[in-house]
Amino acid sequence: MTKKRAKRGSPRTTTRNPGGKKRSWRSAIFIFFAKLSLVVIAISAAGLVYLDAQIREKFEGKRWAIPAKVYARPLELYPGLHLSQAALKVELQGLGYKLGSRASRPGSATWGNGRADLYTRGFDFPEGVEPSQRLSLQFQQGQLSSIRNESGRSVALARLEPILIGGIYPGDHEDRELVRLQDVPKLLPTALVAVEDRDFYSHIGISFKGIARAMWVNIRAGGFVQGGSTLTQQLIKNFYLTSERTLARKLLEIPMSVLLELHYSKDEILEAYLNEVYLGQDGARAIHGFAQGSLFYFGRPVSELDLHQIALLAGLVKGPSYYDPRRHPERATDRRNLVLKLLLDQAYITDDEYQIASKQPLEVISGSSRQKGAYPAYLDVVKRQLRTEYREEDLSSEGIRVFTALDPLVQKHGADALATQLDGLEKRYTKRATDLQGSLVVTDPQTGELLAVVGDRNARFDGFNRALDAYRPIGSLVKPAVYLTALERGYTLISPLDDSPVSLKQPNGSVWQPENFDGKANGQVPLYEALSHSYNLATAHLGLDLGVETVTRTLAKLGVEKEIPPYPSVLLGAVPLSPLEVAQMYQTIAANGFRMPLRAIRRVTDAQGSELSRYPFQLEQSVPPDTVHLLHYALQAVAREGTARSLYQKLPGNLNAAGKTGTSDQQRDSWFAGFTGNRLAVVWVGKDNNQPLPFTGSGGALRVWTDLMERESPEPYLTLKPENVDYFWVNPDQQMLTDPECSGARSVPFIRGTEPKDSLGCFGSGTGGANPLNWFRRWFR
Amino acid sequence: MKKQLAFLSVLVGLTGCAGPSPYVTPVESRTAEPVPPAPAGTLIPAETSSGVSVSPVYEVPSFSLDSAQRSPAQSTAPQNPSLPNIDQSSSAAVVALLGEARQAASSGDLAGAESQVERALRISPRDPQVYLQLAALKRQQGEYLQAEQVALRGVSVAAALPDYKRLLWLELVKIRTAAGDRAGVQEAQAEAARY
Repeated sequence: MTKKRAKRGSPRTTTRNPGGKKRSWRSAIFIFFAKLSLVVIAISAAGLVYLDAQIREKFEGKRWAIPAKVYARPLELYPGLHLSQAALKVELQGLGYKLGSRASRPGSATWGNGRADLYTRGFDFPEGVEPSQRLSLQFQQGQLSSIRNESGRSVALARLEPILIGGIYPGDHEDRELVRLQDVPKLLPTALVAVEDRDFYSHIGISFKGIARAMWVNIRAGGFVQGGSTLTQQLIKNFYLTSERTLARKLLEIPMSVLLELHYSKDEILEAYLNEVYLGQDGARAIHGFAQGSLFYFGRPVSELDLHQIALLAGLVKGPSYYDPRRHPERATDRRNLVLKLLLDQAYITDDEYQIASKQPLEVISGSSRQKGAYPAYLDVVKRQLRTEYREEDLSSEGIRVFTALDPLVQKHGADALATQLDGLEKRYTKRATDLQGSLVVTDPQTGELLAVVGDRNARFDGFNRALDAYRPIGSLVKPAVYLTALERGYTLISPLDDSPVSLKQPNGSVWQPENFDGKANGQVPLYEALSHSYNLATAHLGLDLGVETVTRTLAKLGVEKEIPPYPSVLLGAVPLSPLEVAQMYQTIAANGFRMPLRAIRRVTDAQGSELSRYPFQLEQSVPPDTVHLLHYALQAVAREGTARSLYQKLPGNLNAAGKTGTSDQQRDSWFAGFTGNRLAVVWVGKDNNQPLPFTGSGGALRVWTDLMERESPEPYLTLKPENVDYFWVNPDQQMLTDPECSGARSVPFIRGTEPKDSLGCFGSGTGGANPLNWFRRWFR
Repeated sequence: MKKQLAFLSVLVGLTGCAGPSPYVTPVESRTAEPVPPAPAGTLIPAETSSGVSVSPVYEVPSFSLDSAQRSPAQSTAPQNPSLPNIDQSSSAAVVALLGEARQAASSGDLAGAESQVERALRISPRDPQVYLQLAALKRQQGEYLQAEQVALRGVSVAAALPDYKRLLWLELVKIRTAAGDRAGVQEAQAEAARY
C-alpha cells in the first residue's frame, strides 16, 4: 500500500516541476525518501486515528452483548400465604441469601423457631420498585401468619426478588452481567490491582516497571511465570483483539493501551475490565465479568461478597480453569490466600482480617444448587415463545428481561417427585421396568399460569424435552371429553350406559373391538361410574352414539389445537398428545369451561425496564360451566372410588382432588391428569423406546402425581354450585329420587329439570347395588 | 338401622360434612370417634383417626349467606368466626393491590393498573372484586371481548354473592354498550335486575 502510493506520488511531483533546475540524483533520492517517510508518518497517523476511533467507538458504544435474563416468579409474601419455613428457606437459598445469626445487610436472613428475619435486596420490577427492607416473618402450621417491618408495623404484602433462572446466549455463549464500579466491594478492584497490576494507577497503559519485574521474576524462575501486561493491556487484548498470539497483535496492543489511557480515566478502564474479564466455564456458557462470576461461584450478587470470596475471584483471573475452585479446591485455596497475603503486605487489610479470611472454606456453591440452568424444560417453553416474537440477536444481546411464572418451589417438588417415584418403580419391578422416563407439567388451574415443566427424570438435563416433544397416546385421559359431550347433549350423571362388548368394522376393513381393562363387561352402569372406573366398553358405546366427530369438536373446545381424525379409536385415547397439550385440555376443565392459554411469560422488558410485551390473563368461555360442574363430580369420583382412589392413602381426605388416569394400548404409557384448588398437574411415565410397562396409569403416573401433591400440600378443590344446577338424592342404579338415608342413595348434581321425576322409598329398592357414599353432598349442604 | 347410622357417621367423619346452609364452605371441627373399618374397595380415607379441624383454604368470598348479604363496599373479608383468619389476611394484600391499581388507573396508567390487578388475581383467584376491576380495566383499554370474558368469569366465581353478581352484570352492561352489542346490553340489564 505504502509503496504503491509512493510510486504513484513521485512521477506526479516531477511533472509538477516541469523545466526546473536539474537536481543531482542524490538530492532526488533524498527528496524521495523524505516524501516517502512523510507518507508513512501520515499513514501511521491515519492508522492511529483509525485505531483511536475504533477504541472510542467500542468503549463508548454498546460494549457487550448482554444475554436476555429470564426470571422466575417473585415470591409474594402476605399473611395467610401457604408457605412453610422450609419452603422459604429453599427460596432464599435459591436467591443466595446468607443464612446466619443476623440479618444485617441486604441478602441475609436469620432463622428462629417459627420465625425468620430477612433483609431483602429489593428489585426494580416493571410495575415499580420493591424496596430493600427488613422483614420479620412468623409462621404457624405451614402458613405465613404475620409480616412486620423494621418499625414493627404489620405489612400486607411484600415481594422478594425473582430468582434468575437462565439466559439466552449469543453464538459465542458469553454470559455476563454488568456492574458499576461503585457497586462492587471496594476491596475487589483493590485486590485486582494488587495481584494483577500493582502500578495500575500510575502507569500510562504500559508499565516498563512491570515488564522489568516480570522479566526478573521469569529469569529467576527459569521460565514464564509472570506476564508484564497491565490491566489496560489485558483489557485491550480481550476487548479489541483476537486471542491469537501474533506479533501484529502484540504490536497493536501497546499503542492501543496508551490511546485508551489518554481518553479514559483509570476508573472507567477498571470498570470495563471488571465486566470483561473471563472467569470460568459452565458447559458451553462462558462466564464473563465479576457480577456473573459472583453468581456462578457463590450464587449471590458481587456487592454481597465477603473478603475471602473477593480474594478468590481476584485470584481466578490468572487462570480460571487452572484455579477452578470446584475442580481444584486446593489450588484455588492457595491462590486465594496468596491474594490475601498481597493485600496484607500492601496494608489493605489487617492481620486479623487476613487470619480470619484465610481460614474460611471456599464456600463455592455446588453445581446442583445453581438456579441458572436448573430448569431447562421450562426455559425451553420460554425460548420457543420468545423466538416467535423476537429476533435471535435481540434476545442474546440487548439485555432484555423476561419475567416468567415459573415457581422454583413447584419445580423442585415436581423434579423430586418424578425422580423418587421412578427410582421406586424401577426397584419394585426390577427388570421389567428399566430405563423409565417421565415428564410433568404443573399449572395454576385458576389463572392458567405455567408453574413447572419437567422434561426428564433428571430435571437438570438439557436434552429431549418430553413435556413438549413426546407425543404419546393419551388413553383414557380423553374420556372426560366423551362424557362432557354426553352431558352437553342432555345425558345426566346417572344415565344408564351399556357396558357390553363392541365390535365395529372400520372403513379400512379392520375390526375395532375394545375391551375393558379386566376383560369383563359390566352390563348397565350409571354414567358417572363408567367414567370413574374407566370402562372402555361403555365409553365406546356412548362415543359412537354421540358421534366421533362431536367428541373431537369437544376436544377442540377444550383447547386441543391439532386436527384429530375422527376414528372410533379416538374415543379410547388413540390420540398422541404431549403432556403440555394435555395440561391445556385439563386446564379448561379445571377452570369451569373457561379456556385459558397456558402462560409461561408474564412480561418482557428492555434492559432499562420499559415494557416490550406483556401476556395478560386471557380467557374464553368454551363449555358451559354447569356442564363442567357435573363433569367435576365424576372426576372427583375417580379419586374417591374409581381408578385413582389410591391417592387418598397419602393425601388428606378433604382435598377433593379431581382427575383421570390414562393407560395406552399394551401399557406403553402411564398417565395421570388431575387438579386440586390451586394446582393442576399432568404426569406421563413411559419408556423412550416405547416398550410396554408393568403398570398402568394408576400404578405409575398417579404415584408421581400423588407424591408431587404431597410435597405441595395444595389447597383443596372447592367448587361453586352454578345457579342452574341442583343436587338431588338419587339411587343411580334405578335412576330414581330417593331419601338420603336409603341404601344406595347419593347426592348427585343435575342441570335443573334433568333430575329424575319418580321417587323410590328405602324398601322399594331392595337392591344394595351401588355403594352408599355420599361424600359429595358435603360440598353444598 | 343402627349399622347404617354408624356407617353414615363413618362416612361423615371421613369426608367432612354438611354445613348449615347450602352455600357454606366445608369448615368444620371433627371430633375423634372410634371408627370402624371402611368397606373394602369403596373409600380409602386419609385421616381415619381424625380429631383434626378441617379448614380448607378458600379465598374471599366465603359462602355463608351473611357475608354474601353484606355490601361489597364494606369488607370482603368474611366475618364468620368459623372461617380461618387466612381469608382476612390474604384479602388485606388483595385490598392493597386493588387500591394501588385504582390509583394507577386514575392517573391514566391502565397497563400498570392491570399489572397490579393480575397480582391480586394470583393471590385470590376466586375473589369477584378482582374480576370486576379487571373487566373495567380491559373495557377502558378498549378490549371489549376480554372485558366480557373476565366479567363472565367473575359472575361464575361470584356464585353465592348476589351483590357482586349485580355489579358484574352492570359492568357487562357498560362493556356491551361500549362494544355496541344492543341485545347483549338488554340481557345484562335483565340479569343485573335479578339481584
